[in-house]
Amino acid sequence: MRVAREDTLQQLDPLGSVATRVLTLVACAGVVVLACIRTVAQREDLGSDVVAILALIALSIAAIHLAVRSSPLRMPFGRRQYVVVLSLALLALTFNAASLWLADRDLHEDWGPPAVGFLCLVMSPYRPPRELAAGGVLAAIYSGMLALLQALQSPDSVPAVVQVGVTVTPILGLSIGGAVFAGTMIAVMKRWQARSQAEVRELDDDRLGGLVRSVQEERVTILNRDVVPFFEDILHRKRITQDDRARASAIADRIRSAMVAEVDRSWLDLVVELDPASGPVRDPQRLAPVMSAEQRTALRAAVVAVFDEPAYVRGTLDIEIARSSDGCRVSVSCEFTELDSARRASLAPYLAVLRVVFADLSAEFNPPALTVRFTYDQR
Amino acid sequence: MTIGMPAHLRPHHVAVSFSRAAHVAALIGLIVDATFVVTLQVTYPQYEVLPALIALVHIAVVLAIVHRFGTVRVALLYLIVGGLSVYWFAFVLLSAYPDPPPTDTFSLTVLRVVLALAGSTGAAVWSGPLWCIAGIAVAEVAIGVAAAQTGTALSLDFAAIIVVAMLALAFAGADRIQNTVRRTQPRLHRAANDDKLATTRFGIEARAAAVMHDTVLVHLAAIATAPLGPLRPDLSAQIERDLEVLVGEDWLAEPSDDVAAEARADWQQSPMFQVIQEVRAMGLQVEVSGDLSVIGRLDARRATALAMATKQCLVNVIRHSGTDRAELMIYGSESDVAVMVVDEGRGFSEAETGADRLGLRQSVRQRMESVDGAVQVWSAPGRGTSVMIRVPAAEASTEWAE
Repeated sequence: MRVAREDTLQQLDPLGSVATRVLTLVACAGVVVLACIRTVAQREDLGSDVVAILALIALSIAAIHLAVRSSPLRMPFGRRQYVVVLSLALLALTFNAASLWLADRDLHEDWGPPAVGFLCLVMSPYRPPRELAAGGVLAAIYSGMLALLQALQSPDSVPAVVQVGVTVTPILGLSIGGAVFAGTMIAVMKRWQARSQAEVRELDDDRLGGLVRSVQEERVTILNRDVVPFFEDILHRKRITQDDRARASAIADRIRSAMVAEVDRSWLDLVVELDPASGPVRDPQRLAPVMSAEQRTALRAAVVAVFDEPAYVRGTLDIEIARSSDGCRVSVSCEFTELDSARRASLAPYLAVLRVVFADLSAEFNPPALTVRFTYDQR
Repeated sequence: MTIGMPAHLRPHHVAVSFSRAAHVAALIGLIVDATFVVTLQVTYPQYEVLPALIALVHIAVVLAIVHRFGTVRVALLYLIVGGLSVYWFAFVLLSAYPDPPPTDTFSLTVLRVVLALAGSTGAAVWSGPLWCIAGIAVAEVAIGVAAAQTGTALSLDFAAIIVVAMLALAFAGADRIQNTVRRTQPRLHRAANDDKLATTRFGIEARAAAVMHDTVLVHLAAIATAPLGPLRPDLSAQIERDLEVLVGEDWLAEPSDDVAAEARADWQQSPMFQVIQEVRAMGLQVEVSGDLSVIGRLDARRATALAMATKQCLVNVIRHSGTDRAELMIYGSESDVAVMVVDEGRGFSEAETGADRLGLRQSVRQRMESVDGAVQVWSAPGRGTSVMIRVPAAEASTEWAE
């Protein structure tokens, strides 16, 4: 099912999000580890071990869900995933608060609010800035209400406002900070994309004349071989003979065959021909030209990257395009002498970009073969 | 298409984005600390803590200057002013209460993080961790001096250390991102350029194929089916014209807009009129109806493409329909122009047309698709043929007089 494109860092900058993945995994693991250390270090002061463990479980599930769903192969990280992670984080915060209340301790004294804030920060590359800010504010309001509830129920020397402030500050600061970072980067990227589109158009104007001359010279060379001498001969004699008719027919058939072969070759055939050993693209319904410019660029870059891989086995690239109920279904398979983690890491950025421009992308690594499948709409 | 940002631009923009985010988070921290000070003063009026607000105001002002200018000098100024302000804040807080709070109390933790966050100038990602460490070091020294003056024991602030360590890691991680992008971005950019070139070349080749088909192939077919003996004068003239076009230097060039401007003003100079005259000379009776003036709404490129595609449809009537009559209807709106060619000949099934036939595919469909037009064909064996060709109109228009 196609998901509408959103203004997120992950979708506007899939290459960056591939590299950010390591940071996301480290951060998710770090949050859980720190929470566990803190819980173990103060276990004597906890009101309920069970509730404290529930808090850690909820936090772990949130972190694991974020780590798994933020994978470039599962792009995009949608609003549903964001709500799930944030909800689980707030559930962990609630259990954490409960375990502290039972020991007559304050929420802000433990890992709950910083953990929620940190998960909000880690999700900043994956969601739009406004959604991040709104989620952070809602999470801060919720945690503030928990702190206020506790402050009102167990009044001590610290004013309620201070307790609420200490609780919400990490969540607000980290989530709003993440939203500002994402918003600034997105604005810069959009400006860059608009400028580079204009530059590509200008480049075409300069090169167009050269392309036209190149194509014309190729055609004139072909015509000068047969057609021009034949026409000149006919015009000179001003008569048509049986031989002339046969010759005209033969020349027309030759030119027509060459033109048909040329028309039938798509842009993808020309890309695949960079590996002469590869078989032709299986596209009987001529669906390759239907791809958008973005899709062609992403697929072209990925195919060339495969060809440039030293471990790629020449002649094993196979591409098939067929019409399906979802649109046009593409299957790309190739083999490598070794399909280890280094190969996967080098191909990951291209798969991430493909994931942004095509729908339903799946990548199967069955050494020595890699098979990638995706769909696109027929315009 | 470009996806993401070029590798050489990324470090600067990532650093700037980090700095902006850090400054906003620092401002939130200052607002929270200010709220604390006011709340404490209101709750415990006997303890003078309001002067601590002066420190927060100073830090906020210098923070705004760092945010605006972002130079190393301003950042150093920030650390100096920030350090002095943190000292003042800590001194006021620790000396106000008979039983002073520990030095790792939350409001002081916030100031440690504020100083660590806000020193980043956005000049480079690699300098971020250095500013973080410098900021927290300055804050710790300032708080330590205030604690010594007030006789308060210094407590290690683990929370601040963890937050600052994570910030430093985030900066370092941002630098690591550059390597991945540096390897891949140029390839994407090259692929986008190659695609653009290939698409442009394909359009030119399609135009070349259409011209070849309309000239060379049509007249070779005419020679192959011509009666034996003297060459017909009209066929001789067409072959001579073909040679002039093909040997000429710019048979793939776009028609000039000057020519189109004249043609728009005079139907009889339009490409469509020329085409109708040519096919009538081939023996086809063409009945023209509709609003001829709409042709004037097309620019040169589209007017020529529409005329050549229509010519191919009319030539197909001559060669395949078995009839010598065709109807040509021209109509349109502000946004597009449409031409319909109808004959009552033997009809055909497009799906069964040989793969080696190029007339409809190349000279009509692809030609019109290259100018954003569209073609619809209705035909069945024994039921005649109707071909509708639509093309978007240009903005400028001139009324015609027939």
